[in-house]
Amino acid sequence: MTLLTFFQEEGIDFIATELGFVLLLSIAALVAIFVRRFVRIPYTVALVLVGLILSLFPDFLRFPISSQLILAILVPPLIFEASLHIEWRVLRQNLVSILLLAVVGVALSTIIVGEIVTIVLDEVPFRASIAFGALISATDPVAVVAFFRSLGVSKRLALLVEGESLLNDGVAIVIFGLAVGLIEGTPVSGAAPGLGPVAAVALAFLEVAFGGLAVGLVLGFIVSQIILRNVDDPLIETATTVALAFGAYVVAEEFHLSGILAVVMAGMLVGNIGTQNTTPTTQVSLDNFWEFMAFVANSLVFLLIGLRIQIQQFLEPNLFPIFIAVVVVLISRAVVVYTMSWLNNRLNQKSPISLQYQHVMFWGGLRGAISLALALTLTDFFPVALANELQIMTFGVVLFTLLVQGTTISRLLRRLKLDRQLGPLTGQQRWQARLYSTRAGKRELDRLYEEGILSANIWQAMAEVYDEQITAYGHSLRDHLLEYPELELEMMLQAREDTLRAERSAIGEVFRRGLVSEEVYNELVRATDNRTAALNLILSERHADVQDLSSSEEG
Amino acid sequence: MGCIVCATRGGQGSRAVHLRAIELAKETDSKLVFLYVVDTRVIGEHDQTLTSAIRAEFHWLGRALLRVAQQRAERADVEAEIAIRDGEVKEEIERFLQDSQATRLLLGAPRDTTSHVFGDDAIEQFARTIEDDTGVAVEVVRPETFP
Repeated sequence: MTLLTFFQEEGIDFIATELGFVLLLSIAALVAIFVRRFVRIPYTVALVLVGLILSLFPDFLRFPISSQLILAILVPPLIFEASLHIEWRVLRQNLVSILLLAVVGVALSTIIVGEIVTIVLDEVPFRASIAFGALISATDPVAVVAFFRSLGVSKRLALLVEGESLLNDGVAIVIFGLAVGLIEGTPVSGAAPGLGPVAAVALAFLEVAFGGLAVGLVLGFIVSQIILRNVDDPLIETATTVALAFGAYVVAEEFHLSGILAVVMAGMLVGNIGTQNTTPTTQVSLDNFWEFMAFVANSLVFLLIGLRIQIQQFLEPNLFPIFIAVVVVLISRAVVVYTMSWLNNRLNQKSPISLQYQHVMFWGGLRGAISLALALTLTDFFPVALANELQIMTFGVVLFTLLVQGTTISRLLRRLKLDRQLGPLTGQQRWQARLYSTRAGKRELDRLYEEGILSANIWQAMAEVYDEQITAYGHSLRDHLLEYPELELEMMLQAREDTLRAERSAIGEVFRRGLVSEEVYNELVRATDNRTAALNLILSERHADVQDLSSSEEG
Repeated sequence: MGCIVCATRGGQGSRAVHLRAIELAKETDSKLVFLYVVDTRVIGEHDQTLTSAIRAEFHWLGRALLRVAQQRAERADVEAEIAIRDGEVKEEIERFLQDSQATRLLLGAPRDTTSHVFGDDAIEQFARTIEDDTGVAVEVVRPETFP
């Protein structure tokens, strides 16, 4: 389905829709600027808050925020971009724990939520509570990836949480689909006759999940091994990955398979195999493009979450069901994380999950776009009043996880001393930035004096104050580096990145000035891009968890 | 005159191990060599066309790190040599110890994480293995004990 036909089918005015997206992007950009300059809250939280405020103006957007818009258009690029960065080697080491959390965990959580909700809220029948349990049990990759990237946690912890969130969506969607399918009186589409309900459900789950993975595998393989290997044009290669991200989703959904798992598999294939078949120039181009796509989709998703949730809904008589939903989701998350981690530590003693990690995984289980998108479809399967109640419960949980858990998780990391990489680095950046800006101020002062704008005595007095400041900041930076010697290497790597970029730019400059031929230019650019790609590999390896360093000496 | 080899890779224990090596070289009037081992295998699976660039980049960073150590020694009026080797870390350190007829090897340990994370303290095990294989005394320097 193209964007245009999607809008036409929905009966939406294209220009008004386009204007809506332009407004949303402009607001997102303003929020990003505001967050960076003035307030210390996560960007995604700020977007949700702004969306909530905008939701007070019902005619703000001239198009409906449908589940198709979120699932088919905004989620695939986000999932694809996140999957691009999952290293198969690292995933394999943690596969047992991720699968336990993503598959068994979601099933367990669905049952816990379903059982408790149906017991406490009389008006919610069991099948509806199971559907709610499924849609609310999966942690959201969009929210989780956005938060964990900004927190600077260890690579392994990030992988555990991100990996779980990427794989559990497929599982949750399958269980949700089965739950609503049961209500429609079609227990499992295509299930073999004679099977019991549990076996039929398991069979359907395997069919949908593995089918989705297979679609991603086939399409991802075609793009990675055939197109990326044989085409040497960054623009064409990047465009192909866009077609793959959306195509994998659409093809899988067309066959009633998991579109999300198809995108995850396709993204992982491109990230692990496809990029190895391309030039470093294409790799840089792919990275930049998908970073931009993820930023845009991410911004829109969180704004739309805020816009779709209306503050007025959080009043009596909805407060009690929302409270129950939040408590039940927290209980089920705790049961899943601690029992699955215990099981993992028994089965997989080579990669145990520490208690500290478990606390972060419990509190970091954010819900977002996927839960919201699935909740929006509830009206297709349940009576309106019941669907509305379940939607409001979903909105309540999503908002609680984003606004309460999302804003407090960095404090939890600090308390558990898991943010240790971030603290020293932030300190170094602080002193470096102060030193840099004060020196710039001093240079400007000197310029004013040299141009005769400042008198000698004023310049001298001000210059002395500046010199004192520069010396003090220099000492602070030196003391900080003495306390954290590992930052020397960080500074060196940062500087090396900058110098390689400068080298590449200089090569372009000599070519533009006609000092070298195109052949020499291409050769030098390729060599510099290779060095940059090599440095990126070294950087990504360096950021690996300290637990992976067991075979090498430190110092 | 003995020879002290200080293996370094720019981690948390780097400053401590450099200073300890410089102090020891001064005390014992020994020759001091800072060693950096390039092991491209730590990068894992990667595009083979990048292998030489990875090695070159490791060498570039290694040279810069070793120059930092050498400057520290110069400031303490100790002359130090630098060396870069390619290969598996333990094998290359052992080979270098033999080639340079080293009398002591110094290794840095990360700040207060090793014993907690590895339980049996992998850096100590690593040191003892080298000591057993080469007969050269190995000292592990921790930032906490040599601030």
